[in-house]
Amino acid sequence: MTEPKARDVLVDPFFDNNPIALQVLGICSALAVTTQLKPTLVMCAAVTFVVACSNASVSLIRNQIPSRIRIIVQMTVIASLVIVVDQVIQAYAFSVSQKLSVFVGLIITNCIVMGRAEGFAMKNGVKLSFLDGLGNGLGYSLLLVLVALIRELLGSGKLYGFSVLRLTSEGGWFEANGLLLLSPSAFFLIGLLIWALRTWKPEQVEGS
Amino acid sequence: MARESTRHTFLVALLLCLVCSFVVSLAAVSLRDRQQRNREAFRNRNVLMAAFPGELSDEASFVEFYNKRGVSGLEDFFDRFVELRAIRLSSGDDVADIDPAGYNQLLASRDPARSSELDLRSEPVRDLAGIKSREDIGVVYLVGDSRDLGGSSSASVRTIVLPIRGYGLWSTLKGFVAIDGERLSSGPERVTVRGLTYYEHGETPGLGGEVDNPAWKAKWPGRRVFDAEWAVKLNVTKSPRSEYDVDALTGATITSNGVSRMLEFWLGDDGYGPFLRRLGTSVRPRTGGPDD
Repeated sequence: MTEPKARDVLVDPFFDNNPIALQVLGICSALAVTTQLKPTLVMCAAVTFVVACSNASVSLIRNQIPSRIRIIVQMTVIASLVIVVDQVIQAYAFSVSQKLSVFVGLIITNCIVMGRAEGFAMKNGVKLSFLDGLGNGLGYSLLLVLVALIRELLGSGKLYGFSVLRLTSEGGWFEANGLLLLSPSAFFLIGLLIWALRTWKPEQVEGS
Repeated sequence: MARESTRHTFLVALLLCLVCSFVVSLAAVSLRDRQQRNREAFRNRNVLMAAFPGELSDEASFVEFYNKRGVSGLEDFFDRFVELRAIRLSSGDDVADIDPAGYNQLLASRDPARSSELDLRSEPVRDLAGIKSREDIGVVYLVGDSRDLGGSSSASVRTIVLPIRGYGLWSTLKGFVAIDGERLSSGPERVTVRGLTYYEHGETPGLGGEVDNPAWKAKWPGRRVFDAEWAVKLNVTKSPRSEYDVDALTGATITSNGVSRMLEFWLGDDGYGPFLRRLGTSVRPRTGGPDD
């Protein structure tokens, strides 16, 4: 097995191996937190931090972990990091933490985190694992931010809480599309984004 | 030592648990004060949301609200416009030797020395809110437009905000109900609700969780509370007919009943009823003080 290059490990998950678009992981939180940009950014930062740090920690102790308990060891590392992140968000971004409610805690069960720990960090060095986690976190963030941009703009005429399109209810011209504030719209948007990505990179289309 | 041996497995598990629990405890302990302050600020914001319904919703509306009143923020507003009082619930009298700002009502309700148990078998049911024991001393927030509230005898109060809590379907709902204070002196039948908010609950999102829905909260202002004998008539019902009735939440009968019963409890004889009655007989119509 050839050693993967640091740059590839970091950049691949953006478009070529995006955790949401190609692997279709972590969809649950992608639906739940993307109605507004601000909570989305906090969620993205939280997930990126957790994946990068859990990858690095798991990789650091990978030669010590007995294979019989490796999954529970990874879980423990991930869960501890998520609790720390949750505490920090509650202390420094209280209003956002209420919007995110249980979804910060649910990062523990986010398949991306577990998948990278088991699939990459158990076999690679600390630095590479950290970069892999960072790349996957950013790839996840990229898609989430795109979805949140569209949902907040068309769903409530705002971006990051600031009015961009004046709503008819406030004397403007823009009729907000309420569907975009509901969870199914995130499915539609992610589907459309996957379609766009696979038209651009046809090699991602799964064999029929 | 072999990596797969039982001894090594136990050792790794033990060390990992120690390290992880240390990290988690460190985060929890070092951030506790900040989180506590956040929660308190959030509670206080809910006091204002109950007292000024319709005016306050998101962050921007709070900023506008403060600017209009020339205060710098939440703490400044509380310093200048809100008076906290500790009240002995059974008599409705002020308690002088307790600092209401530092008093934790929830903690007191769990301390047998500072609370009284509600007899669960009494008929008619006393423990309407499902809280089992009730603290002896409660806090009230008197919200005015300026802090010329003075002593209890010369009070001119605009809004009285009372903390309420009670069981719904899954959880204890904790919130505030605001009562229009200016009407208190014109008799119990004139008393109306100004607003209702919950700052903590675990009801089903989309059903009982709709207690947070602004459209439902907008049904509360102006509802009447008491009949001529100070008995609580305000209630949540599926077919609202009178000025006392608030439309129930769709698909959330038990949460709606919980809200109804906790209001009956906290506004009634076992709750803040004696205090409201006492205030009703002592409040003078607002005449405008010298430091207005």
